[in-house]
Amino acid sequence: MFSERNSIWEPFPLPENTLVGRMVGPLGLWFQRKDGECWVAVSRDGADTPPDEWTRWALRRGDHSVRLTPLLPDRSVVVKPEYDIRLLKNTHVRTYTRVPIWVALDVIGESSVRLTEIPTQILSNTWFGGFTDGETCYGLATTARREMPADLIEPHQAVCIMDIRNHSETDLKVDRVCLRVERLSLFSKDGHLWADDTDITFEGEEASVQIRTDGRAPVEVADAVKLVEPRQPQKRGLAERAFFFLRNETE
Amino acid sequence: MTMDLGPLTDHISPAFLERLLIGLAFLTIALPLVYLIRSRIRNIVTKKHSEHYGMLAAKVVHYVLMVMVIVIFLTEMGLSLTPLLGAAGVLGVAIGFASQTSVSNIISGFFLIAERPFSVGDVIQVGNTTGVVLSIDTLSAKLRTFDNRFVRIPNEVLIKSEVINNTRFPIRRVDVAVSVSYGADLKAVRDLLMTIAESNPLALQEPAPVVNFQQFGASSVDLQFLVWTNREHVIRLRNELNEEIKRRFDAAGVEIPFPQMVVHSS
Repeated sequence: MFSERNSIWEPFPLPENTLVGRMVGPLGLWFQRKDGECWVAVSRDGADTPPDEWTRWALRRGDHSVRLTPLLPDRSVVVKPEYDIRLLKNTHVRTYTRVPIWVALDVIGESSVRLTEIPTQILSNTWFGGFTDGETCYGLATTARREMPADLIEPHQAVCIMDIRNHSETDLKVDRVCLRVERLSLFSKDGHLWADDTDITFEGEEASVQIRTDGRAPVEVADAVKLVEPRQPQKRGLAERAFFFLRNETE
Repeated sequence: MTMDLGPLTDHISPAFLERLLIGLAFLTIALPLVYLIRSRIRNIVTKKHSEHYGMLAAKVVHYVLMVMVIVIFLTEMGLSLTPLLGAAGVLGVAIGFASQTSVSNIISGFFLIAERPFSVGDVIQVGNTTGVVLSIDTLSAKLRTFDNRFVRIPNEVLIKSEVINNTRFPIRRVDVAVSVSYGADLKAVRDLLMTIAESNPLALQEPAPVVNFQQFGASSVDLQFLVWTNREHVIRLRNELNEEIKRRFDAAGVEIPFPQMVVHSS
């Protein structure tokens, strides 16, 4: 299991009637233990005092500490590059995108119980698919960097890597990509979070896009420690929509 | 088997009484069993398919089993079904002529089930009535309106009328009419509206929000602000957009005009 010391992901004790605060990027989390209950407050305004609104959970006898666990978002993320990327036929591009994580709150006693999951940053919703069939995803604008310097990675972000291959006979215009984050694992190295590679191969037809995730740390951080398993089981060679070209005829 | 039934046997033969008891015992077991099977079938089909098909399967199973139970009961009682069926045929023709509306509703019900313009749980609009479909029955569909009234709409009406299904598709468009004064900077207004859409988490990024020019009105320039959202957020998003438009327009000094007339006197 996780072994990086002094990490925000290490469990911490929750003494009776003591205010405990933790920051994960812009997300402020405050905890209190009162009368056998765990009180949790959330803020995103950077304030160093808790907001007035608290949520209370009744604790089990023996629950004594709290652990924060990083998670990738609970829905796929549609990544929209700042500028369209065009892939000539039989070319390949490797891009890096920083995705805001979620934080799971677990109380620990004899066993661990999950209280809730909270996004560090509220992402807009977007639709991926046609007007009669598709899925709600989170929308994220990205610069789709070709490299990811460590100083750009913030504590509330996970770096997701996409290898996009154009095996078709035509050019591929990438103006948005659906990143299936629910099938990705999370790894940690030097306090930075990384997800495993997503390999997207475009064969020329929307239906024949092949998406692969391997569950291993990316080569950039090959010795990273695996923190979290994917929310959904990984499937090799999954044929799923990664590109969709939605036209709004109602304008 | 002999039974001592006392004075009852003065009026009813012991053999008939025995058959009656056996028949009643059969009903005591069979009827709860029919309801149990109906309930199980409904749960299984609902889980595997949808509530609509669950309800349909339960009805079919219920009617088939009930007919079987009645036939077995009558046979056990020693009644011949042939004259009954003959009478039912004659009676059926008579009833058919007398109840054309009901028959039309039943047939319309079959078309509704086959065509499936809506299902149990959908929000539909028929004429001036909007509500959640509670059930689609033999003669009518039942709706619950949003102010919690019960509405029964005959199947024939549903077949003949325009039915709008508000929840068939997963995303919906919210149309907001926006009027600004002739002095307003339209580009600034457009940018402001797009910012409002971008900052609302209920508004979908894609399909992208749109600001359409509608017309030069009598007292205002009329625009249409189109924003997409998930179907369950339509009303909430409409409220939030309108409130935010008012707030941002006030802050930016964009005038929302009211009808006015310029009178020149000579």
